[in-house]
Amino acid sequence: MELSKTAALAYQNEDRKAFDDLVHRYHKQAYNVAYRMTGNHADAEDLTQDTFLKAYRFFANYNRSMPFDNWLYRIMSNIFVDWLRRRPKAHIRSLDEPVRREEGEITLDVADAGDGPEALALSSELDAEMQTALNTLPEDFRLTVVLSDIEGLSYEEVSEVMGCSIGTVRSRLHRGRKLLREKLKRYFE
Amino acid sequence: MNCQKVQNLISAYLDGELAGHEMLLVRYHLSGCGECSGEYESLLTIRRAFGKLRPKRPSDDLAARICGQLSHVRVPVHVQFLASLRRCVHPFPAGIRVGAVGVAVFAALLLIRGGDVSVGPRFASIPVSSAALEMLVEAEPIHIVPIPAPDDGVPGVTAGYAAGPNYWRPTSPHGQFTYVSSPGGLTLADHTR
Repeated sequence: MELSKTAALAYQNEDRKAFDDLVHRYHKQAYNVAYRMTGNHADAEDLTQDTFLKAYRFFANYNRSMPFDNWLYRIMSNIFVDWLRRRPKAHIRSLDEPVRREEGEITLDVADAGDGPEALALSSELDAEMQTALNTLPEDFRLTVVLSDIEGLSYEEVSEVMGCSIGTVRSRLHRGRKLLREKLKRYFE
Repeated sequence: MNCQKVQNLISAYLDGELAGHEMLLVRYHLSGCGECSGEYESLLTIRRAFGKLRPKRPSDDLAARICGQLSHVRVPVHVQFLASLRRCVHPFPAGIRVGAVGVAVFAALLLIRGGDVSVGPRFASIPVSSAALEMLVEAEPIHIVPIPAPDDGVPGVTAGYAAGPNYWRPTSPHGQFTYVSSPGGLTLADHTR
């Protein structure tokens, strides 16, 4: 029994060290996805932390043939869906809503369309507008766009992460992009 | 292929996720339709813009905070047990691993139930790690328009599945076809039985 306890501890220590390495390697990437899902820093860090803790809890079940980040995203999307079910819907500021300041209401500033839409993507103002547009998408569409267009996963990888068919990924991504195009048309037309 | 059908396929087309035959039909349609090619350009712009978003950076101490919390995580007993099993059987081929896991789970049940050999539902209720099992991946079936029969008399097929980026496999046992575009339309490039 003592030998089995020692062996179990050795396995746990080995797992723990391996997982610590994975945290350091993937936490920034996971945070970026979490931020794009939640839209704010505090929730993104909470979601990232919850994801890694759950991943550690079930690390023994992790199928090593699947990329670790894809497995992590699957856990993250399940946690995020649970969050949405339990939390009241947060107010999401639309692009057309005026910014309320002490001196009175003013409209949202828009970035100047100097060098073209792709160059504008580098500006932080447009980044904020694009994130706001992303926040307005239904969570399934949002996650699909984040995984495919921001993280660069293939349709097959996205379907594995989200637990749906490739046809569903295709439909959600297409509809998500069309909604984003509508929300951002003043910047990209 | 009409505009409505093409526009529903545009995102998959620009992501390179269409099978060869559909890809060629969409490409052919876009070359001659201004409305659909405009739709293509606008969705491509959206995809590129989101692909260029700067990654958001977390707090500098996030990784350390996460690692600090790991000590408080309680790993379920059955997960620890299966992890130990996996390490014991990992060097062996998959078939032996599956058998070993099954024997070990059965033995664990016997120990738990004090020798009761009525395993049935309780055995089925123990989760088995997917790492011990082979996974089969099937390509998604698609339906395509009929294609003229090759010269050797093999009949054309109306259904198949995407087996790669530029070819599809018919569901009938007539072999594998690869099609490429040419001035005359689609041409059979390869047919292997």
